[in-house]
Amino acid sequence: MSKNNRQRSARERIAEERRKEAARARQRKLLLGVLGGITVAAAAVVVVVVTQNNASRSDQKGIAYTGPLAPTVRQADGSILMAKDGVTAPTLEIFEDFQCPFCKKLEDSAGDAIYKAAADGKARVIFRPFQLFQAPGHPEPVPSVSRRGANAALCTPPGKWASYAKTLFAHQPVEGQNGFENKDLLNWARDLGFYDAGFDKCVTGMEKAGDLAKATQYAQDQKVNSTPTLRLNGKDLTPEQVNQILSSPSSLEQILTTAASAPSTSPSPATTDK
Amino acid sequence: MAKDVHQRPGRTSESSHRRWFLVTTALLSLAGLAVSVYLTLAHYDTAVSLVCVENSTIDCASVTSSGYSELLGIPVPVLGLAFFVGIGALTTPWAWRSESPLLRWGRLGAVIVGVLFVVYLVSAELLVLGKICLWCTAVHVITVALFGFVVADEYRRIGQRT
Repeated sequence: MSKNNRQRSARERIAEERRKEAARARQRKLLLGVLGGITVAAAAVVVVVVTQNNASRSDQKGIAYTGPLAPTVRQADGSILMAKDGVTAPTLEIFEDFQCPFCKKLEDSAGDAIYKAAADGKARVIFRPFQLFQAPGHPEPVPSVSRRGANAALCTPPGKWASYAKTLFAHQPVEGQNGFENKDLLNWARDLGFYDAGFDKCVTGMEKAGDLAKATQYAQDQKVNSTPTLRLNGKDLTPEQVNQILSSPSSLEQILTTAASAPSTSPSPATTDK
Repeated sequence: MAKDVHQRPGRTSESSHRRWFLVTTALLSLAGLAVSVYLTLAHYDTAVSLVCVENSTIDCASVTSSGYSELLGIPVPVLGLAFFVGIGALTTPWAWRSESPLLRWGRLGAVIVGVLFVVYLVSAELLVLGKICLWCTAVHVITVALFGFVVADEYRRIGQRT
């Protein structure tokens, strides 16, 4: 009897030990499965992020703008004027930096609407590229990227402005990363069919650095300290208006129509050359 | 050896979820939900000026406006919001007490996906953008903490199962 009890309790102890061992094995399996699986998957995720980023940087092509375009000329100060013949008002000025993510957003969402507005005679549009991002407020390479982008844009023939600006924004380097390398800037001109020795020299020799410095000084004189700044008849559009254009490009037309019908009270000195 | 402490045969996990565990995980889920709501509102709030400013110091804007702020067209804050609504439901005391395999697998699967998404976002921040967004980091820390709690809970449960 007591022997039986002892045997049973011994069996129970063994069974209990086995259960515990099995439980510990399951716990090990869980940890190994979850943590091991996560480690492998995490490594894969990191590799994908890095390779995708590298891939997106290497096969960048020039992007042609094929929509309607108003006659485009470069003004004496380097700015670009798009205006249908005979259209004198309203004047929409766009101050932009090719390294600015929100300028990219503007181009992505409303760029075509802006070119079309100029082509349709809804406005005279003046593009004023300048270097917003300066040292020491912005660490390298941001200022250099900004400078190279703006210089190349200033070297571009006016008729190719829309396409080249579109290309620069499409391939805008992530802030803080290098980009707008001369090799790329030249290749995009080849893609867009306007590469020549003059453009090459202008880009690699930073030949428009002087114009760019003047444009930047002009923007500072005009108290433009953020981009994109959209100035209609000499008056800055409010952030709400800019956001409205970003979220719904068709609102641009409405804003321009309102400006056209309102008496132009403040013809801006900013709209004149030099 | 270590005989005891956990030897409670016959008792279900219902009684073994300590109060601090339930409270902590619920609070973490709520905090994650709150930050996600904030980031989602910030994402859609048109009153926030979308401009680049001279001499701006590095902040969330350059991260939340980057190409990594959306996945398959869905804004990341919205994904975060959906995640915390789900994990919030799965970390209520009722859900913790349930032995339903569906809830347990769902909870474990959710935090694993969450942690992998954190790895994706943090590697984009560190390796591609070179910038960190503090609010996003708060969400990441909460997600990893919830992952720890869920795995610890599963570890305990399968150790108890007879």
